[in-house]
Amino acid sequence: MKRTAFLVSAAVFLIAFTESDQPVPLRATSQEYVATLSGGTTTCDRCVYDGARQDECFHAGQVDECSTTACIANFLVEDTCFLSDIGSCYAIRDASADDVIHYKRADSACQTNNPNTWQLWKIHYYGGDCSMNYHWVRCQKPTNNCNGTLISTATTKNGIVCQ
Amino acid sequence: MSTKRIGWLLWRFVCKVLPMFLFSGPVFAEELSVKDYLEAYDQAFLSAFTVTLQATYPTNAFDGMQGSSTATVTIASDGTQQALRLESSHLDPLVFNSARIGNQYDDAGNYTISHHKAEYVHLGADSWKTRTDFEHFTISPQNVVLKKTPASPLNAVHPKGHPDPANVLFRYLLPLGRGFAQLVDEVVSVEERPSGISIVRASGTLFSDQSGTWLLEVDTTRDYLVQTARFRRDGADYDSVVSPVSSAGTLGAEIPLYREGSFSIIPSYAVSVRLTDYTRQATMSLIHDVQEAVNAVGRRSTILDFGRIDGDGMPLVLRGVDLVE
Repeated sequence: MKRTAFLVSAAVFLIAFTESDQPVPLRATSQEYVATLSGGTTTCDRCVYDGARQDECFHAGQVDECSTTACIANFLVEDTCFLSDIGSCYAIRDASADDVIHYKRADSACQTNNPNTWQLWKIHYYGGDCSMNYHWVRCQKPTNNCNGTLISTATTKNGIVCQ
Repeated sequence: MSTKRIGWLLWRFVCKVLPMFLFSGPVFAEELSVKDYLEAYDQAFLSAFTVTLQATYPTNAFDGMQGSSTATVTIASDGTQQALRLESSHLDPLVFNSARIGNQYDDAGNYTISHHKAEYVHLGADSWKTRTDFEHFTISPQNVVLKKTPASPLNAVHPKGHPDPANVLFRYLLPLGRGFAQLVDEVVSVEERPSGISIVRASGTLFSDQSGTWLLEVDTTRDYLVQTARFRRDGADYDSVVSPVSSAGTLGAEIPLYREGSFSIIPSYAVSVRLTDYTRQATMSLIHDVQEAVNAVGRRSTILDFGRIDGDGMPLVLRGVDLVE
């Protein structure tokens, strides 16, 4: 019961974000998520790999300008569970597992349609209580073609892995 | 004299003689062989060598507040394959950066940052592979490094000819004056200076499929070493610049290399190198070790296969599988 209340609260939080000028979900996941929650889902099922790519014009921080001379190809490489009425999902967050791999590349006149607002790219789920791992983006490059000269790479850890 | 003959002479004057006065003697592309020289020297150089150098570069390309890193880089080639090993040896003190992105901080608010502890590149006959061992640091708001996690590898498999692994290897050779022939497509013009320097303008690329224009200064008196190179990709408002330090001299009698140089890929990211050892023999043990390293995969290793890209441009991702063919 407590868990359901928590998840519903999280959904309301997300809807509130969606309808304000704060981060907006980029894909249908959160809508599906909210719809599922209204049916009272409390468990997760089927742990699978759920990779995705989202390119951005380079930015290093929360509020800095989107660069025109460099871009980042972000490869999300972690696993996730799916919300379900029944079932169990054996996924954990692992401090040694990659979460996102970033390829910083040279670009020319990198253009974005979102220089300011952090937007929700993906939600991934793990653990028996369907905890959420949010992935946010800004300065998205709509063409998703950050393929210029490689400058350097970086990784972030603590990714979700199926057990 | 016929009208046809006069017209022909006029045409010759406009095409050949007039430009010589206007542009200090350019020569037309079809008459030039500077690209052939560059290719011949690069081919001879790559046929057998081992170099060891000190490289300095930004510790983290994603965080301009961090300082520089120094690494020992060893590269060997036997004519059919090239191998690189990079081992980080020094880091400027790391600092807490409060302006980064949310997932860069742990639950206690400490800043986490990754660093290339080691790198391996193998450009083999069939496939090109890389491995980067990332070390992750946790830094407190007081600039104290609280934790350094063991290096974890990221392996990548590329089809032969893919620009990324070539970039990671040749970025340390270009500042020494070699390796440009692969980047030049078509020579547009050459201006030969009395000093023996040839100014070459050419179309080409810089380790990507984005085309642009090269401006090379080739020292024909020093075995066609490239003493300066600028590349501007089409549509860009800045140059990538390779700047060997010709005043520091050269190393090697048969096929010389500059001793020092730098490569600025974008204005905010430059690699500086200093050559410490150069032999005209391939160190096969290094090639073998690198080959083993790029094929070694741990249980939590991530492997990106750029030979299998989906419709969204995402490489196939594998985890903890054996890469040995």
